[in-house]
Amino acid sequence: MNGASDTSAVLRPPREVMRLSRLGRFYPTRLSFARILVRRMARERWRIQPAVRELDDDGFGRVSYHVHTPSGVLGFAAFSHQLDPADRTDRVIAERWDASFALTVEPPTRADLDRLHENVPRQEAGRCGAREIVLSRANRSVRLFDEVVASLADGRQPSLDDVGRVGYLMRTTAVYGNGKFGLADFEQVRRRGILTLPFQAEMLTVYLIRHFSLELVDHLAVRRGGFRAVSLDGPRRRALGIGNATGLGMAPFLVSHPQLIDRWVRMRETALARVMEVEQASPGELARFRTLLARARTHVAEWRPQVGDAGLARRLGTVERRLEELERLVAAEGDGELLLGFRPWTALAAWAGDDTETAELLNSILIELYPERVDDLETTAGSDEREETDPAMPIGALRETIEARYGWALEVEFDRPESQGLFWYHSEEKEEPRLGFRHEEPGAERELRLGIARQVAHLHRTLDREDPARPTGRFLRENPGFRKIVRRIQSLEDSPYAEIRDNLLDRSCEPADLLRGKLSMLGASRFDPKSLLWTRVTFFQGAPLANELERSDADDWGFATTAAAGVGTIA
Amino acid sequence: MAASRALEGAGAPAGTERDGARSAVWLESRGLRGTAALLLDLHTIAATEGRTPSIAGHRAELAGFPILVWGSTLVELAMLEAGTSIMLQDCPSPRALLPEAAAQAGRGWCFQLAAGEGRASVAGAELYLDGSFAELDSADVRLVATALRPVSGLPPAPSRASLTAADLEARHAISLANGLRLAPCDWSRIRVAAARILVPASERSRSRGAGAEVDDNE
Repeated sequence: MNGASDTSAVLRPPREVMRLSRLGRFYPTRLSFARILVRRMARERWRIQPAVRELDDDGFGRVSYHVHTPSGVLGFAAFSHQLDPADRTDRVIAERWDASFALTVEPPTRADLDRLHENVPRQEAGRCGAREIVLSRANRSVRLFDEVVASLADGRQPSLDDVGRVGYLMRTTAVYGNGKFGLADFEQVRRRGILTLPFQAEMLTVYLIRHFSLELVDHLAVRRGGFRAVSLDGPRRRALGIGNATGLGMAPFLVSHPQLIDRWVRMRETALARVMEVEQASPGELARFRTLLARARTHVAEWRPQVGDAGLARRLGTVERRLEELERLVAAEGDGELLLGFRPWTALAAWAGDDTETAELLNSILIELYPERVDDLETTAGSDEREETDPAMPIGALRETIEARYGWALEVEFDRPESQGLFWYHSEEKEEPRLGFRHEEPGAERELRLGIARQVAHLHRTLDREDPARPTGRFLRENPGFRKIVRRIQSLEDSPYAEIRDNLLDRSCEPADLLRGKLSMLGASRFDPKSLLWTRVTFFQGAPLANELERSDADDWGFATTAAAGVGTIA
Repeated sequence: MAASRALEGAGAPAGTERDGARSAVWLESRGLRGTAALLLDLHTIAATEGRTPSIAGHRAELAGFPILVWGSTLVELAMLEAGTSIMLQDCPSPRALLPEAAAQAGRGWCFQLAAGEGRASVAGAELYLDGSFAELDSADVRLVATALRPVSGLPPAPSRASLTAADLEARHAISLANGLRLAPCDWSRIRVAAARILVPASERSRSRGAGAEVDDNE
């Protein structure tokens, strides 16, 4: 099977894919990082071994695990603290949490654990070093955590409906890695050979937090209920993932790592293109498609945004109706011919039409349907992110490159005030990323450089006055402020999906679309936007538990549903 | 990240802050006093803000200019004048040119740098560094770039080569394993510079941060 870069399959053009209105409709796929990680854990038979468990009657204290992999042993430390409800907030600016965590390059010794206990609960204010890979914190779900503990202590399983409705016992509010706050640099982590792809360390941490949260409710149930207490059963454990509250920090990442974004989207689009090449669907593939379709419809039905944006709720309603219609069209006993002809999945895409929410969900199903066609792509998710300037490139050639690849940016009318209505910045408060209104608030002079379209347009106008034969390097010597955008343009020649083809400074820009695009690539589901600025999501809902990784169906947890969990299948 | 923000906060032109930060980390993680070069840059950026080094013919006057910030421009200048000796007069922290030269060398270039008795050669993945070159705080530097097409190997090593690419890689591996440790006063100066890109909080800005609108106890 071809790699991501040499496929002969016809990929969807970037002008269609790299729009906020499309990225904001993405669903996780079997190539999302959470899925890739669990598949690898299962394939390589990773083991999570308890090492230290020092929790009091209220569940406060510390726990550590050893994570055994064929390439070495990692450590994980969890600290559970008392938290006044008044201090509980999802915001980055919080300073106290219910629990805090660190993933470490080696199993922590007692001394390490003492050191981590001093620092990890303080998060950004603590001192971590090159022996720590990831730093994270989480809050208990007020909607579910105590209710689950009370039920178990009383000898009852909690309501499966409640479990499925909330979807997690704990919700992370930050997962830091890759050298931030003095943590191990990704290069160091990669060289150790265990976590070699982007975000694997972060995803593993979230998986371990889920494991910890499930152990914690069992511990509390026993301490409170004694002999009456029961352990949370398998279906409910699987139905619980880990919540995550994510805000604007995702947006700078998407703009600052264009080569990574290109790899991720190209991986997904290549997978889809390969599936679209299928000339005839076999009876087995059609049966599997119907199974996944039914599961996806239930998944959407169970996805109930709490506060939500009205647009998402409306779109999900449409998806549900259309999937019902599709189920009738492709029923085994039906006479529908939609999928019986040549290139059935192309016909399906045509059926979805311009309804991007439905179309992207179906795309995720199709990628799920053909592991043998797509799974080899998972190794293409990384990039060395090397950007380089080509100083010898004539200015005329640079202009032509801009006109060929950045036409979308040149079309923006920047003399309209609304086109620069927003500015992105880091606040003094814990360096939290925020969004301001340029013409109404101070601080725009310190804005983050996320306005790629504006920078390109400015460069293009400036180059108009230059000799086309002049080397770019000489231009940059006199105009150093353009180095960043010139280098970006020159470096992304072979990265067609690198740029989000919208003006992120426009007053109408909806950051929630950016968040969903990236989170889906990580593997998050059940997007629950609380505003246009931040969202809650769930990771690993339906994923196999640590003791289920060797099951033959351990990889079959896409579109997790409570209903499926309730009858004992993994998802 | 902190180095990049510090350079940006100090006023480095867009894009040069990342080059400069990467160079500072490259040097520091190889024991070549990257932090000292960074602090010098932070000091000189403001003094030269809005100005570019005077470059006439094959001579650049660099006194008082931040070299981490301008390093990539100077190395590119040598590439554009391949085969010709470029004189970098009064170049602060000559070692600050090495990271960008090493990056370009990986793409098929060879660079030779000479300052007083100090020498450095970089080609492909190879690097020879005379110890005195790395110690210089300011010097006139001769810089020559040659395209290696086809790769013809490294020019003869300086006779008193005291450091090689392997030596530097060994130092880098130790830094990766142990992390970089900065003196508190140096770290403080970097943090102060980096804080200049932050926008003061206000009630209104707080309401525009993530998670400001709803009850979190759910």
